[in-house]
Amino acid sequence: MGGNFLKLVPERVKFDQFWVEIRKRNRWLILLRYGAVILLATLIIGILILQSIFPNFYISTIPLWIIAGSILIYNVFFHQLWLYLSKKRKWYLQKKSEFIDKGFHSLHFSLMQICFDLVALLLFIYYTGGVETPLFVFFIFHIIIGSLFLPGEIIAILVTCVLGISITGSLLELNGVIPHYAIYGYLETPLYNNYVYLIFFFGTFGIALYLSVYLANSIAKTLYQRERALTSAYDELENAEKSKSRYVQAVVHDLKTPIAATLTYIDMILQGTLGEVPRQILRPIERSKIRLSNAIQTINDILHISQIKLESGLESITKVNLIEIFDEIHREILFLIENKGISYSFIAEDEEELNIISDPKLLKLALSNLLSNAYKYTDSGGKIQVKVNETKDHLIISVADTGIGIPENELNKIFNAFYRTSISKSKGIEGSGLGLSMVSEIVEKFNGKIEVKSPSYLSTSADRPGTEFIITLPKVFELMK
Amino acid sequence: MAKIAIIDDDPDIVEAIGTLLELKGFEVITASDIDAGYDLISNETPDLIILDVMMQEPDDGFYLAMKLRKKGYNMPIIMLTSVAKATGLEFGADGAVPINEFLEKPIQSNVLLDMINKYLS
Repeated sequence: MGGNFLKLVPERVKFDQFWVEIRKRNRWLILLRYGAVILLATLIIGILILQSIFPNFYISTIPLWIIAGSILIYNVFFHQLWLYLSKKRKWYLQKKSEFIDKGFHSLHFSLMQICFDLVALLLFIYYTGGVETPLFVFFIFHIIIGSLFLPGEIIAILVTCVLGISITGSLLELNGVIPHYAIYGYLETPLYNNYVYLIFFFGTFGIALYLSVYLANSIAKTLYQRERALTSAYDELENAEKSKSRYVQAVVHDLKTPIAATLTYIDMILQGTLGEVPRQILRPIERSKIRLSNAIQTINDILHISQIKLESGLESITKVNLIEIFDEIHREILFLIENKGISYSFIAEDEEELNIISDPKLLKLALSNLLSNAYKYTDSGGKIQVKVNETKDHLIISVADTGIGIPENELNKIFNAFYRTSISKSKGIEGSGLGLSMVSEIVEKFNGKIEVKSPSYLSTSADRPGTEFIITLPKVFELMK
Repeated sequence: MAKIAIIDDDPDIVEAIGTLLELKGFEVITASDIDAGYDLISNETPDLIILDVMMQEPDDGFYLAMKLRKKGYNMPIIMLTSVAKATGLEFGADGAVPINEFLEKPIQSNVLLDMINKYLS
């Protein structure tokens, strides 16, 4: 318990999503603080205006400006620290090593932020009248925010410190050891030197603080538990999906075996190994071969998809040079493209190196599917163009062609498994309708997104509108998003 | 010579059955979707229709059959299906669907020919 307590990791939340949430909340806290600085500045300006309207009213605003300025300065520092920590995390992720729970981590960062804020608030309260200021309410707010991050024990300690410091400060003011900064023109009679008021005030304030800690913490705990239950339900679903995939693989494999055997016979017949084939029989046998080969292709696609669902993906994540992948795919289908008389071009900002952290096998499978579709649905004399653009965090890959295109009312269906467009069927182009569903499955796995446009920007004629697929992939694939 | 319409979106099925029926001396007309199929039937009034259930939509064949019956075409319809109970309907010539026979793919030539002869003799 002791070791764990120092690490700040509450027992209830040892799952990945917790860390993602904490990182988000740290950032949220930083952004919120910028807002708070503006709010404070407005408050001080408001005080100055009030002072000019009511001559009796007076608060010394110089310490308040100093406090607001300090908050701004330490918040800029926190912001930089946050950026540094997230860069460090990405670096660890690229090296594929553990990055959580070692040394200074997100929860320490949260605690540090909360402590700084509490000190700033204590000072602000002191300079706006101590026990006499209505700003005491803001402690409750801080405590609730803190409870969303940190274990109840830590927050309880913080609350005790806040109470201790406030009470000590008030007693020191009362005894004249430290000066009292009053709000002139706010109270008829001062309260800071009234014992009964102090007892009442700190009594209710203390109870309110501890109650807030208790309530906020138990709500946070329930929420985390629910989230955890959801995560484990998700894991179970994923396991069910995996056993389904294994079942599908077994079944489909059994389907493939007899088809493959039949194809072997058909090949023997067609090659004349078993004697000459009469001409009128040749065509039905050739058609049988094509249909059975397509069945094999469909089966292979299904096997691929089940394989994608089975692989967790983490172990094969590595640095991939996208240019190399495209070069490989291009080499593999180059002769097909050239034979058909299609022109192929590749455009990228950097044509040597475009790195992405991903699974090279799956990425290649997705991209080669798009390219072979472009090849399949584009006539001779057509064009295929691949463009890769880079943003700060994403790669945007576009594969465009001048092929038969996709009717507008079918654009939203093409990623469904087994869906084939009316136009491809009517043109007698064979296919299983699984390729694009596989591509979108892979893109989704990498937290990317895929869009389709038809007509494509390459199109020059209405009867060959062409298609453009645009994949946006995060440069660093994070499993924990 | 009896005229038979084959309506199926699979060109191999159309070609295979077409070849079979032509060899047996039937006149064969074909279409690959329900709109073309309806035009074909209203223009040519075949003596028998061989109709696939699943074309562009999973129930295209039923839709066309209903439409034909509604418009007063009473020629026998043999419906082809890849899965016998694909749509959850109990298939059979019991009046639920206005067709005469169901035939499951793959099609055996002799079964199809027997069926055709039963309705055309």
